[in-house]
Amino acid sequence: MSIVPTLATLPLFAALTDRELEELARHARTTTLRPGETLFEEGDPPDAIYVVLRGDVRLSCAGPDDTRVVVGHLGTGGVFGEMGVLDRAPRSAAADSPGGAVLLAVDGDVFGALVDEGHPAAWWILRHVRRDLADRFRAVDSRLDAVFEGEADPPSPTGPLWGLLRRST
Amino acid sequence: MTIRPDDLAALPGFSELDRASLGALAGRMVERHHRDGAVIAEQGGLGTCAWVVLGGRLAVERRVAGGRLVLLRELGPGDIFGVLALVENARREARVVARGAVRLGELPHAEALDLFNGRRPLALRFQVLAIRSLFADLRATNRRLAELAALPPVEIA
Repeated sequence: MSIVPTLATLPLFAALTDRELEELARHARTTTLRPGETLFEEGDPPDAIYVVLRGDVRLSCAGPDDTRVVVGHLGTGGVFGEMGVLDRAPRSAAADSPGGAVLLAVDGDVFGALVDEGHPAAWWILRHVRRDLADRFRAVDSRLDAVFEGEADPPSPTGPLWGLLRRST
Repeated sequence: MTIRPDDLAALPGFSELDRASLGALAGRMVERHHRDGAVIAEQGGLGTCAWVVLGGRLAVERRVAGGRLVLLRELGPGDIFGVLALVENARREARVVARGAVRLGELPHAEALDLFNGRRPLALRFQVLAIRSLFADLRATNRRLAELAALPPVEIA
C-alpha cells in the first residue's frame, strides 16, 4: 500500500506535489516498531532521518545509576535522527516506541542524493531542522541568562542539561 | 583579494563539495581581514550578513546579567556563523570577536539569504554545512552552559 496519502497529511510535506511525494516514498523506506521496541541505542552509528507516520517515539539518554532520562516524546509528524545523519555523529540518545509506531526512514545516502538533486523534500527537512535549532538556541540562551540571574535550577549531578538535548539524535 | 575554490576546499566539511559548487560559493563571498579584538558581529545587532571562517580563531561571547561577557565557544576554519539571525530576521544573540588576525569569507545579505533559503542543489549543500556548524555550536554552548551552571555566578569573571 502506498504511503503517499499518509505523507500528504504531514505538515512537513504539505507543500510537496503528488509527484514529489511519490519520489520521496520511492526513495525512502518505512519501518514498523512493535510496542516497546527499540529503534536505536545511544552511541549507535546514524543510519537515517526518521519521520513518525503513526504512533509514538520516545527519546532517552542514560542517566545516573542506570536510570533513563526521557529527553523527548514525538507523535505523528515528529522528525528525529537528523543530527546524527547531518553531522555524522553517533546517536546522542536512544529511540524506542512505547506504543508502537510506523516511521518513514530517509537513509543518509538517500538524503544526500535528495540534496544533490535539489529535491523539495530535502529543502523542507532542512528548513525544519534549522527552525528547530533556532528554538534550541533560544532555550540555551534563556537558560544561560537565568543562570546569571540566579534563577536556574541546580545542575544535574551528571552535567548535561537533559532538556536541551531534546531530539538531538 | 579573491577567494579561490581551493581556499574553501581546504576547510573542514567543504572538501566534500564538487569543484563547481566550491567555485560558485567562492564567487559569492567577499574576503575580509580583521585584527585581534575586532568585533565582527555585535549582540543585539541585526543579521545583515553571514560569514565562513577561512583562517584564524574567533570567540563567541554573550553579555549576561550585570553586563558581564561570558565566553560561549570558539570558532575556527570552516565554521559558518551569523546564520540564524539572518534567516530568522532576528537580532544576534551573541557577539563574535577576532582572537588574533582572522580571514573571513563574508556572504552579503542577498547572497546569504539566497543560499540559506534557496532550493537549488548548491543552496541545499551549503545549508547542510551551515546546519552542521550550528550543531557544533549548540553542543559547545550546551557544554559551556553546564560548566557555568555548576559554578556560583560570583566566581565567573
